[in-house]
Amino acid sequence: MLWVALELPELPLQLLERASESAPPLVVSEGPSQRPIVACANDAAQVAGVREGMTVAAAQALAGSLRCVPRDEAAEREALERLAGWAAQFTSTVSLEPTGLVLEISGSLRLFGGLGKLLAALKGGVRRLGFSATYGVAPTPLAARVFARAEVRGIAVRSCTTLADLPARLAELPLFLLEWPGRTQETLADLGILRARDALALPRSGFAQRFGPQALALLDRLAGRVPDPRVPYEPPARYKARLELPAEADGVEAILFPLRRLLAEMEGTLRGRGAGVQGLDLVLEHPGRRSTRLALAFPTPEREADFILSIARERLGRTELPAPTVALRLVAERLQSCAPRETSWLSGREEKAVGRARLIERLSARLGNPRVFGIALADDHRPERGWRSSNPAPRSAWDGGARPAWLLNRPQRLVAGAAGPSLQGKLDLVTGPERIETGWWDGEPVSRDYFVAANPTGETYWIYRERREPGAWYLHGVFA
Amino acid sequence: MVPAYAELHCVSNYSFLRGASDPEELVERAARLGYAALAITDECSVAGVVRAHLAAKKAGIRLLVGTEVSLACGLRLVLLARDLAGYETLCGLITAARRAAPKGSYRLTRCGFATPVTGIVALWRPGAGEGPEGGEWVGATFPGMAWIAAELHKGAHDGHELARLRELGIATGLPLVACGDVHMHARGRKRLQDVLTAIRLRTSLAEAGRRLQPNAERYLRPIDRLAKIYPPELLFESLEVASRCTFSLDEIRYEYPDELVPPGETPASHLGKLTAEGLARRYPAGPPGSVVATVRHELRLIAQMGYEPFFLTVHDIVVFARGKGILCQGRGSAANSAVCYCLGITEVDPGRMSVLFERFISKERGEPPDIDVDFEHQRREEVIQYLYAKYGRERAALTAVVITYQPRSAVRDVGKALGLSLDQVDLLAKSLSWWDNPEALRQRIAEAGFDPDSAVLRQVVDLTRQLVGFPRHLSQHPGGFVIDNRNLSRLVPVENATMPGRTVIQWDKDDLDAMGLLKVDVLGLGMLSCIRRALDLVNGYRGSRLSMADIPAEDPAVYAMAQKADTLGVFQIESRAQMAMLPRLKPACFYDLVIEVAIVRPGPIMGKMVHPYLRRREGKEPVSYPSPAVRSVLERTLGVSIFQEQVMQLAVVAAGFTPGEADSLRRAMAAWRRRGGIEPFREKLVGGMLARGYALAYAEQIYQQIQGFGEYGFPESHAASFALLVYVSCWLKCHEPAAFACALLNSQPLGFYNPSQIVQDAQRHGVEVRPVCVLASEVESTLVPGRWAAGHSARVGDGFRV
Repeated sequence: MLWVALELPELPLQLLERASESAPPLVVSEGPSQRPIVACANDAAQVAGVREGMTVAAAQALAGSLRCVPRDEAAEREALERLAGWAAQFTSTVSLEPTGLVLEISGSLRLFGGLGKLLAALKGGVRRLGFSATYGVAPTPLAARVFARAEVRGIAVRSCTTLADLPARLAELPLFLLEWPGRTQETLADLGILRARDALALPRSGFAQRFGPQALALLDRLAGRVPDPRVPYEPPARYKARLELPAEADGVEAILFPLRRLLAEMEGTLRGRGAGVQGLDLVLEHPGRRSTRLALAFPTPEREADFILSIARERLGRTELPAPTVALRLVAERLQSCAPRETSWLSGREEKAVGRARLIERLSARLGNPRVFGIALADDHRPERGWRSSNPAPRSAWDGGARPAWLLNRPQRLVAGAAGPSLQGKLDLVTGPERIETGWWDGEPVSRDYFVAANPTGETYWIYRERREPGAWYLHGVFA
Repeated sequence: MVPAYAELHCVSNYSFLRGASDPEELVERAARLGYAALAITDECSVAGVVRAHLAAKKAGIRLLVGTEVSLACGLRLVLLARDLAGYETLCGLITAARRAAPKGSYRLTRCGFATPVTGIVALWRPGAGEGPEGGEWVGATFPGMAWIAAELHKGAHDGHELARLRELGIATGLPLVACGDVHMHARGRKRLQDVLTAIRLRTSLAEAGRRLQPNAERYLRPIDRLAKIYPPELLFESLEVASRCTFSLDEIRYEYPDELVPPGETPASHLGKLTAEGLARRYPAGPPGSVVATVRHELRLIAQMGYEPFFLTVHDIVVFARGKGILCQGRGSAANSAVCYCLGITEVDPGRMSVLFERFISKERGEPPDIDVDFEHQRREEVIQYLYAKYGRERAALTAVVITYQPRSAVRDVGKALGLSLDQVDLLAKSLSWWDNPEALRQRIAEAGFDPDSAVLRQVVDLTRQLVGFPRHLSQHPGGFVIDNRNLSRLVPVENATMPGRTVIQWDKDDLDAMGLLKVDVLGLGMLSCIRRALDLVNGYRGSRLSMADIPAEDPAVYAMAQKADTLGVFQIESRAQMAMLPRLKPACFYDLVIEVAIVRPGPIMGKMVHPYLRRREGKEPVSYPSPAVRSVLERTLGVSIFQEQVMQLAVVAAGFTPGEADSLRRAMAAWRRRGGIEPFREKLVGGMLARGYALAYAEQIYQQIQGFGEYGFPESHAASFALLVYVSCWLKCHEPAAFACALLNSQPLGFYNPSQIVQDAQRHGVEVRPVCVLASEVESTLVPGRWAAGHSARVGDGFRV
């Protein structure tokens, strides 16, 4: 077993800061509403002198343009859950902790090419999502968490990969990094037991007698003497995500950045579950008005953030937003299994060619769904009845005579003299006649001799002689 | 100069649900177009060639006989018979193909062909994308007699097609010949052809889509049009092919089975001997002079036409049946001859009916005699098995019956093809009665609530009219046997019938008549079973040895009973209609019974002959004849046409028809429901009669009679055979009521009445009926001396007493 722990100490801040690139002074407050206290302050605020624990009023006195947002623990919890879902792409054993996550990665090391690469991918991904976190790697989850929390306080800890090395690594770490039950931690401190080394050296029965079996169990779990199973986080079957924008966003461009972040998170989650979405609702919340809801649909399950972003961008481009947007929501009701797209082994060359399905989706998105359709064969000898519109589908075989790419809606009468029909020049009958006489049973009988004809300039047409009107020639189609 | 052409590939409506024209229509049209020859090549069948042959002789055009087949490997061929041996091979091939598959389909593989095949021309029809391999096989199997059929119908790829075929020709070494793949005689039949396709595919026209032919070009095209489509050498080649085929159906001769004639005898001598023996047996006191003269006259006629084997065959069957105690009776014009009476084929004494037998064999018609034999219904199968056993399954087979579209089934299928819903179709079909002619169709449709002027309904009417009479499938005739000395499958292909173990030939009775092949109808008659049972019962308790021939003739008591219409259970005259007729007609002699049997029939009724006859008989109307010629025909029926032959004879003597024309009239009458048949004769009939000085009113009346007769008129000879049974059963009822009722009960189901009514009638005649008794009853009803105990099969509740 090998565990990676993530600590997100500034989660309350990052919930808000994710949504934009710039970071004006921002504090998250908590406490009674009459007297809010600063829980976290971002860098910009800290530069101005704001510190945790001071009252918001005091903070605002220091930085005039300070923005203060009350702490939303539910949103934090939700964000952690989403992050857990996102992290599932690295391992299926992701567990939630109060201020972060732990991942069991021993099974994933080979896939990712070793611990170093896995950590790099994990860290990079988390950063792209707009979070900043600290990491710890240890053979037990508790130890990993301790390492990660140590880093928050600036104590650098090397990754530990074997149980044998663990006690040595833990040795110097202060005990307050663990979450002791009750007042155990204070009691330990009073007794002068400050470091892990000290606690681990104490006799077990005495420790249990003094501090309680729970505390001993915590130590055992930390050191790996006792197993510490974690329940893996099971993300819900639907995907829901909400991102509040730091400031009202006017127009479409301002939405794209946070949207990309959201989509990247969704992609990770979906990747972790080997899933994709075929239908995705993008909701833009406007203050005091009804939200704008865009329903995106894909012919096949998709999860790649870039692709979905391009689709969404086109749709947004055609949508008129009634008011500025304050928050974004993504809702996907159904997740479907999604086979990974084959990546080209000619790596490095950007695949410019767009697949057929994608092209159809793009065209539908741009032109509107009803305007994009395919042509299929219909079972009738009469040319005007010989085709019907259908969903775009692969080609079917045609074994009949030549048929033009363009068919006129209504055949057009041609000028015909003694020498025959003409259309911008005398028409030469190249092939034919192909006689079609049928359709007498439904009131649309056809009795025609069809010819492929060319005029002197080389244009090729599909014409027919109407057998029921002597001397009448009609144009029915054009060969491209 | 218009090039000459012979059509080598043409299917008629005997390629069921593919061809849209009769063989006659095709032949006539080809003749009109000036074709050098026409081949009728139905799919794995020669069912239509006899009709085509007769029509071709009349129209003066040469007929080629062949068939179109698709092999199991996908190879498509047209095979034409070059000579008699080739025709026999062809029949053998078709037989093998049909026997190897369930009814209605066929299976032919390359192994079925000997290599090389002689006497047959093969035309190869390469399919799209087919390579030369098939053609090479054809060339090897039919050396020197194989061609590639080039069939162009203004299709999508005509230009390429010809080039492709030429390439195949070079690759295989086979020459090309122009063919038409003809499915109809005129373009106007395309709609019907589409409907046939839809019916065959069990779908509607709209859904058949591209499975319908795209245009109407598969018809017998005028030669100048063909000249614009095919290069002249291909047209010329068709004459080449036709010239290699010299076979004509006339070459088929009947060969009587060898077993019929004992060694050292000829058919004529053997027949003469049997007849003489029979004559002595029938008239132990010596035959009357008139009968002897008749016998001599008939034997002479028989010898002239060479028909001895027919009589000998039937005699053999009757002897077998009698030997087994199976009651039988001959029926038909030839059956009621004096010779047949001597042979024991019929029980009708020529002495009784001297006027009957003038034209029992029509010399001019050249047709073999019409002999049917009725057997006891329940023992008919024994006779059939005897025939199969004696001649073998190869030499004896059942004739076919062509099941044709009737108005009801035609409307149903046309309606479904045109997309009417199932209940609409049912409504339309039910609104027709069996009797209707197509003209009444329109009226019936309006009555059923449809708008007869709507486009759809007009099409329904029009197409139904065309479809009525079209062959739908071949079925086995219940008892018509054809027997030959050779393996039958060399004369005409044999296919599987629906009944397992039964095989049927592809020709029907008319075809066999035209071809001069021996045909015997082995039919079952329930009344014969009843009469035998009654005779057995009577003989049983009286200790007599009564046979049907021993029943005393012209018993007045019998006629008295008949005149009272006390005829429940009596053959032919027990129906309500008959019981109403009997007191009016008051039969008093044998011939009256003959008339009684024939008069209560749709023919005379629709010909409006019944009432005039009755009035004349009762003396309420004077009997008059417009001419002595008419008198000779109608005298025995008081100047009124009752029998079918009288109509024919009138046409000859009063309208000047030749016997051959009268025969066409007879056929047209039989087929009038098919094609509105006798309209063409109207002119000749009425005109002929007017020319001979008859009044227009009389001529019109005669014409109407003929129209009414149709095929419902009863031939006199059949009526006579039946009248005999009427008399016998009536005699039994009169003099042995208990035995008769008992026999009737044991022969159920038979007749119009149920057992309860039979028992009540017997009781009314003083017969005591004992109820069913566990101890005493047998399975069948029996006579008990002094009483008759009803058996378990009777299910009645009272006792009989003699």
